[in-house]
Amino acid sequence: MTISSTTVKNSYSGNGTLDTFNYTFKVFADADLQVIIRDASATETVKNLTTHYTVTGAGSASGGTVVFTAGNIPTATETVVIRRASPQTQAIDYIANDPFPAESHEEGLDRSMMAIQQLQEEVDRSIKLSRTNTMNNTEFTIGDTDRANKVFGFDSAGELVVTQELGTFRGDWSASTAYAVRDLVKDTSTNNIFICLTAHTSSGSQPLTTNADSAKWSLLVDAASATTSATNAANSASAAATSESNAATSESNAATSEANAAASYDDFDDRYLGAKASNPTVDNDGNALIDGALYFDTTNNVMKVYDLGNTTWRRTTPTTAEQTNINTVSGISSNVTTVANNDTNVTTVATNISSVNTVATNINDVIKVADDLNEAISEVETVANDLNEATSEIEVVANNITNVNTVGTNISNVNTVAGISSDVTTVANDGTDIGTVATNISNVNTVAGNNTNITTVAGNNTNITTVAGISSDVTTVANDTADIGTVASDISNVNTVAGSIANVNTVATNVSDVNNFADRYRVQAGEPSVDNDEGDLVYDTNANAVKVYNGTSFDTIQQGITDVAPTRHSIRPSLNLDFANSKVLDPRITFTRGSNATYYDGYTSVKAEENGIYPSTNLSSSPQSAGVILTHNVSGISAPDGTETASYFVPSASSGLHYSRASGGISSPSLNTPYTGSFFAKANGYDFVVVQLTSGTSSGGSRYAITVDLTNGTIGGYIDTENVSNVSSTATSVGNGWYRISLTASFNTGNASPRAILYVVGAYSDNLSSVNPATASNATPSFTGDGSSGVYVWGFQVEQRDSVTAYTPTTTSPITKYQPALQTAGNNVARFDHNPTTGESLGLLIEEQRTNLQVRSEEFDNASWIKLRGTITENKIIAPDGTLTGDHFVCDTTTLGNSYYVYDTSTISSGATTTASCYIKKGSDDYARIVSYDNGANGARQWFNIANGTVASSNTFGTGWSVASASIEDAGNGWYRCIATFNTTGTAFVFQIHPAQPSDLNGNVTAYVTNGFIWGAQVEKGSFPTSYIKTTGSQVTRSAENVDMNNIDTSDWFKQGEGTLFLKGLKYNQDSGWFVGLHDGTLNNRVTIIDNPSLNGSRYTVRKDNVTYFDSYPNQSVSKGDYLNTIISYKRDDFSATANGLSNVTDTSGIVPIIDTLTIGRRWDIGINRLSSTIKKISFYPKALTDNEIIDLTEE
Amino acid sequence: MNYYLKTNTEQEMWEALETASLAKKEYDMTDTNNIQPEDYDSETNGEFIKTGKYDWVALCQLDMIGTIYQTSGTMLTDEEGNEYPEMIAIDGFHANIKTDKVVTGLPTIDAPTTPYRKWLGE
Repeated sequence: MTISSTTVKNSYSGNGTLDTFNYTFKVFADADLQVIIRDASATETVKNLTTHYTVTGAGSASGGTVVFTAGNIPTATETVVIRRASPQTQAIDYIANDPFPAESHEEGLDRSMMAIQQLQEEVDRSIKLSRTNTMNNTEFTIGDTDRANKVFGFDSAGELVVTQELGTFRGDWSASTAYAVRDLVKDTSTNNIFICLTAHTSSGSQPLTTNADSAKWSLLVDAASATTSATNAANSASAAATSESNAATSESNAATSEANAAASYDDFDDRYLGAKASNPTVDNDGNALIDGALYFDTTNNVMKVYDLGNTTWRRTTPTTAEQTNINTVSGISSNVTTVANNDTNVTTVATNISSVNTVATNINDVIKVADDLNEAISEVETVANDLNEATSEIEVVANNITNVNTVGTNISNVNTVAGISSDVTTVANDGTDIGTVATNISNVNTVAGNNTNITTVAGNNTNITTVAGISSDVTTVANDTADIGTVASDISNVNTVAGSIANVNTVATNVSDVNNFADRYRVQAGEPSVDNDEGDLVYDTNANAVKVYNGTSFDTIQQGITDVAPTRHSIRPSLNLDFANSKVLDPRITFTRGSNATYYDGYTSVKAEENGIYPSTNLSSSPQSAGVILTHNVSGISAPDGTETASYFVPSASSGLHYSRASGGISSPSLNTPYTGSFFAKANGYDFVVVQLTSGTSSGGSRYAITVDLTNGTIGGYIDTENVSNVSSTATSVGNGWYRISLTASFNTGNASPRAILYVVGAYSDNLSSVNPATASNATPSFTGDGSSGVYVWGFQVEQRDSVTAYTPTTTSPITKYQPALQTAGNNVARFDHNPTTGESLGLLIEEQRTNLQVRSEEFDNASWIKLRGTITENKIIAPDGTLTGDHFVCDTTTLGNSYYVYDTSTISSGATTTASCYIKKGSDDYARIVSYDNGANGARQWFNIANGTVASSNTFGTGWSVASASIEDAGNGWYRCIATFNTTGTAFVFQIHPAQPSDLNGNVTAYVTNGFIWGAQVEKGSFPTSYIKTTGSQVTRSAENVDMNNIDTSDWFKQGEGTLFLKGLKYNQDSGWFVGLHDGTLNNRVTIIDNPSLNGSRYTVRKDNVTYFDSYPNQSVSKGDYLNTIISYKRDDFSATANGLSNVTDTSGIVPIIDTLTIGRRWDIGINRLSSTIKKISFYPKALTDNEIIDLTEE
Repeated sequence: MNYYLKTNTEQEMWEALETASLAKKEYDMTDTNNIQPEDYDSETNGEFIKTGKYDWVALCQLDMIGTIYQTSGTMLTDEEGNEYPEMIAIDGFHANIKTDKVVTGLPTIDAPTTPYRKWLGE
């Protein structure tokens, strides 16, 4: 046979039941077939003959079948491939000289062809070069390990490579990263995937499409578009669903409307039957007629209505009576037309119908008036003419209606007088006599009043006789009656002199001085011509000038008081709330505040820095023990402050005591009172140092000594506590091998040379645990040094306190500093605030409600405050509230960066103007900085000079943020409250505090800074700061103050109808805070003075019954922080207001409200417009003062 | 007496306070839309109707906190490389009130061990 077919493979799909599959090519044996099953996951499995299938037709030129055994039938997801796989061997053996074996030979040729076909089938399934294509080398030698996980590909010359990578996924793109070709990254701003086209180091920011290196990237996966499409698809689906729902609803509504319309039409059809020639008996639907149904009778051309009660149709014509009326109207149609033409007048009458009715009711009075007007002499005209006169008697009576009412009230008395008119006439006729009596009525009253005395005189007749016997003496006295009268009339002066007899005696004693003064200073018209000595003074009333005698003539003294206002203080207020001077609340004031609040009381101060040692850097230059070698200002050794001022303490090589004392100390320390000594030490040869705090420099007394291991700060070994209590000690590493060591003790026993002082009593090679303090000589361990090993010491300090504070250096004298202490007022306790440094009394402090959003306001050591390039040591300095809570920020001087700071993050209202503040005290550098930003790239910076207390420069970064305003407040003793108000975006507010800045340069810090002190951080919503609010783990809210004086209408100081209201307060930049108001509980009736920020002055308003009669807000040129003396006087048709002595504003028309309440510092109706400021004084005068008077009152 | 309140929205909070007679609604008279013009002719135009914004007047010590945020425990990094805590919002609208009276019907929650915000001095 021949091989005429090139088919070597058949392929079928299984169905789970078909077990027999044809193959259409010849095989010589069953084993020459290979059966392969390909499943749905493209896994190919070569099946085994007999086990999985059997074969028929081997040797047949047309092929045969493959029959799968039970359990191995191909499923519907499987593909059956049957291919010829003849063995690649040659089994025919030709034997020489045998007959030509044609069959075997042909079989051999067939097998060869089959092998060729099988190879062709393999080749057809291979990837290969086309006949015209070229490749220099189709072999590769790279081993499997190197090929692993690589891609088979082509290099830049088109040659074969097997180590190619598709690209390396480098994660999210970031700046400053080296990227290679085919690196894959994710753009986190768009979620797009890019492949790197050109190797480069990245810069700039995302998205990569706008990055400067965008040409070096190619978009691989457009996730952003996909996301947008997905979102749009979802939105479309949602919209479609909504539309579907709406359509269904509309369909339902339409159906309902259709039904309703049909029902309505049917109802109408039942009620109006249309045109008909005769009366219908049923409606258009054949149903019974309903009452009131209508139809048009075409026979009679009239409308008819159905009367169901009488089951009859009736014509809709008027009744007879109605027709009569119609006829009547028709007859007077011209009149109706006339009325219609006067429609406006009719409306007017209708509008005023109540007045018309009133006239109608009083028509008789109207007639009387009309009759009167027709008379020759009309009383009405007389009254009208009188009212038109310049001086109307009727107006006079009206203006004196009070008197008329008085007469009315006392009409019975008037009638009584009328009834006794004859008596009155009689009295009138005796007018002369009565006048005489009246003239002497005092004498008559005296006699009447002395009736008892006259009786007494009568009863003392004997005494009178006696007087008569000494009449000469009496006469003598009588002759001196003028003198006696003079004394009597001046008896108050006599008593005054008697009461001041000591002063009189003093004057008498110093009468020469008095006379000398009289000689030296005279007041007279013109200049004295006699008794003139050099330096004499005279007030020349002719020249109205003070003059001084220069030895030859008088010179006029021209400097001094030139203008004394003559009228001031001639008027006194009836209410004077002098908060600044009295510092108490008037008991008539109702004051509330629902929380604590802070302020300065003007007198409480606390001891801050203290150091009794001087100079503080060194031990005494003369050691108290001969066995001490002491070197000051050791060269090459940096003290903790970086200077070369440390001392070197070396025990000599001789055995004995080795101790030295610091200089100075606190003299005469109190017993049973804590004292703390401290110093810095660093090992150099010997690792242990012993230090002693004592009550004096003589032997005995109290002492507390400790031993410190300077390799690790351990305190132990030799400990001596002699006559001390409440002892404690610390040893803290401060870097570079230095430790700060402190000892605290209360002395129970005094000393012959009392002084709280520190001794360094030795440097040792061990901790002396074997030494018993009780037996040690002079309580000091004996030791033999080597003459060169010792310890460095520096920075001695002794303070009267129960714990150590930050080191305060001294030079030639001890230091004790005091600082004002921020006070806390309890609930409902008014605050009378003061300038903490000048002590100026600022008056009543009123503030709006505020929240400190910054937690841990005094706990910068807490983990919520993150420290950058620095560390916090808590409670190292006396804080502005007088407690030892001021924290110390120490910069990391080994890392030079652009900032050293602490920071925390708060959440604010989105975009809210926010004020951040913090108390900062200079450590090493003159400047501090507050920075706020949004956790991103947008923020602003504000510098402060904390050496001189001034606001320095500011700048911004990113967009949207800026410093709206900044200020700095001196809190005393070097503390400054640094305040910056920020315009923000978003809700994140990062508060950075930089306590040490070398300058206010806008750039980065390029020099090391060392340290600073911080306390009291505050973040509050608003454009200005308010008083400090302490926080711990929570945000804290301070309530607002409410200040009122109620029922003033019944008080003895207030007068309705007129008055003058004065206020002296500190102008602040709040939003129209209301200083003070007189009112009735509403805004409709009030007299108010409001802080007017837009025009730098006050706004004055008078309203009555919701009508404004006076509303003026002049520009008074008063800025934030200035005092405003502001005033308004008011009465009917006379309003005047001014501030700080400026020209007043006036209004001459208007009335005033009825008032019962005084409110200070807020609007009383709603919670806005609260004041946040201090008020020194509020006064009320029960009359409207003149323009000059109010200007004068505000000048001071 | 302190009450810690929580509602879903600010509007619900005010309504709850108004129901408990702790707040009332008033027009803001600094808004010119609430002030009757002096030349307003009420005979022609009828009674003047305020159309401006309004304020709520608290009759007790009221601290409207709003949304409360807490740290999630995750630290994030800003563009300067500084770490900062991630803040997450707690659901609801919150307020604190302080009053001498016992008030019922308020949307109170249990007093937190560590309040997000408290009154100065407490």
